[in-house]
Amino acid sequence: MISINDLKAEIDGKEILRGINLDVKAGEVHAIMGPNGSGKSTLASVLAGREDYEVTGGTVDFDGEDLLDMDPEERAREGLFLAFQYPVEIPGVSNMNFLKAALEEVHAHKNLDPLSAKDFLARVREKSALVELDSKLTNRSVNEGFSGGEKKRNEIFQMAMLEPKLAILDETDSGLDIDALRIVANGVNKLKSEKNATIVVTHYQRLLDYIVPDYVHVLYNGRIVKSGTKELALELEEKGYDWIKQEVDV
Amino acid sequence: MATIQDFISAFKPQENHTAVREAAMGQLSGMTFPNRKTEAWKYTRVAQLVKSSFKDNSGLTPAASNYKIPELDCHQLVFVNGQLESNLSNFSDQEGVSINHLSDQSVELNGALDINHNVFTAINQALFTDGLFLNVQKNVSAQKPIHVVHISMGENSGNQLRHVINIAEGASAELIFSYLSEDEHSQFNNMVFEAQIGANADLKVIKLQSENGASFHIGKDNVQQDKDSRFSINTLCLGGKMIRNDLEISVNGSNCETVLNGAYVCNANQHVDNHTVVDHKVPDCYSNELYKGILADQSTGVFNGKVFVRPDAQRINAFQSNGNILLSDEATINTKPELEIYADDVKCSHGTTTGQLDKDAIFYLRARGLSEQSAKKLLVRAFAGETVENISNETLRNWAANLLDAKFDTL
Repeated sequence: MISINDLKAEIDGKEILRGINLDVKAGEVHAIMGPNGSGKSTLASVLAGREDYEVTGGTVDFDGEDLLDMDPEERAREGLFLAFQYPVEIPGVSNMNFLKAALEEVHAHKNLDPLSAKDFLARVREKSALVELDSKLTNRSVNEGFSGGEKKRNEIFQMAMLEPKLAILDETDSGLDIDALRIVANGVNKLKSEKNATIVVTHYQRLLDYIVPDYVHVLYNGRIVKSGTKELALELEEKGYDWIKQEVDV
Repeated sequence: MATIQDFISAFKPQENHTAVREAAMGQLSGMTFPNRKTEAWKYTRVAQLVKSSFKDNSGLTPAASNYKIPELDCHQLVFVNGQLESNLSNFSDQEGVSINHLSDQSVELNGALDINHNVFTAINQALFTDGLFLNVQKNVSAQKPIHVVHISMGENSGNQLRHVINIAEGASAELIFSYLSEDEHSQFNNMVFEAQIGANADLKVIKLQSENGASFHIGKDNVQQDKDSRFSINTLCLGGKMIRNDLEISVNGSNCETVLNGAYVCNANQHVDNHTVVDHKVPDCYSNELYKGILADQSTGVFNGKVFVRPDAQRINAFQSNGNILLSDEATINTKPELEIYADDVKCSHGTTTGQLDKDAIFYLRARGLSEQSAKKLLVRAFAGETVENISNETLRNWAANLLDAKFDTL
């Protein structure tokens, strides 16, 4: 699905990613953990195409295409989805109009017929139920006045509407109470299939009790320094990140 | 600097309403065009306008024959270069609603409008060719909106119309003014609109300025509100090389409501200047003003909104807000919201913002598959669309939103 090879990126001349290697296949869930400032969110942003970052080396192959050569919207239309750590509030743009416009462009890109108004509404009903998002919220301006939990649920709702091949969840669990976390994780799990893949970026092991990863990677100082299975996450929870830092720094 | 006499020399003297015209001519002899030292015109240069030779250009017939707003059942008056074109117009009186025009001999003009402070208003008063003369009688509600279409065409056409509206006690009406160019020649619209709104009466106005990019528009709107009355206006400045609107509302009676909304969406070298005055002379009134600007390329915007609260005009709620988005580094906005308050028990606010489109929002939308262009359009529409949301007639609201959208597509 996605193959990241020696990816390097910097912002304002400061190198953040120093050679990331990662392979994710369809049907898999990968967790990327690491201490604050290790480059987790940078990796998510670079993959989604945020222009503040400059890619200085490496390649990313997304289903046979050169991901780094695509604009953010092309990546989205090809099936890459980033659930934002801080979803943006957009006053005056209704959630519905926004999603409708997004789906129209995605469908046009894939040469699919546009969704009828009726089918669109049916899909909104079905998918918003998945993350227990109040129908009032779907009609409001994008994220405006939403609570932290509502914003994150709205991200997963958008993901459900767009049905991506690869979803990257950037700290989707941070700031969520346990009920909201359960709802969000439940939504992600229901969307999981043999055809899509998920990268979960998180600081906390707690989310991984609900979204069980096939692989866990530890990112430190811009590199993946350790990979393992879900047991690695438990070990990190128990011992913190210091032992990894020591291993690497030695 | 061109003299006023030079500027008006090519306009035909008019035969009717001689008293008000003579008064205006007399006034003009002591006036000069505003220059950079004239505070009210500090950011709007008229040199290019006044050195052009505009003239009456009657007798031309536009090729297009349909200026209707889709699906709107309304009266329609079409003025081509300042002359009523009856073939294109379609209006009829309703009981208690008299739709006439100023060149009709039965119409008398009172000349109460202040022409001392604006040379273009005085020029209009001296030389206007025609205009809507609307009277709505006591407690009558005009059933259909009245759409006044202004078509400019031909070289150097200078069009001067004066619209006079009287809405009697308890009556109501809705007016739409559309300004269009039939070709790409440089033209000049010098327009005056005056309205008297009686006690507990209601007037809604929508002003749609869509002239070509070579044309000038100077507009003066003067509204007098009697007690318990309501007035709202939505101004969309979309076309034209230069627009200057002076909108003055005198709130003369208590318990009035005044709503001024405006949007200016400019690109290329457009210059749009909106000056507004709301004068609260008496207690217990409400006014709300919202102007939004989108400025692209080398365009320039000016907003100057003034709210007066006179001594003893207590318990006034007056709000004023102007927001701007600059889409290019070369676009300029000069904005100045002003409050002058001489009463002590009032609730007033004013504010202005100027910024750019939110980069994070653009990325967020693109990350969901929207192109950069559609992301920007969505954000611009969200920002400026607010200025037409209060239009109660759904057909008109959609029409105004469509005009905005069409302009956004050109940015």
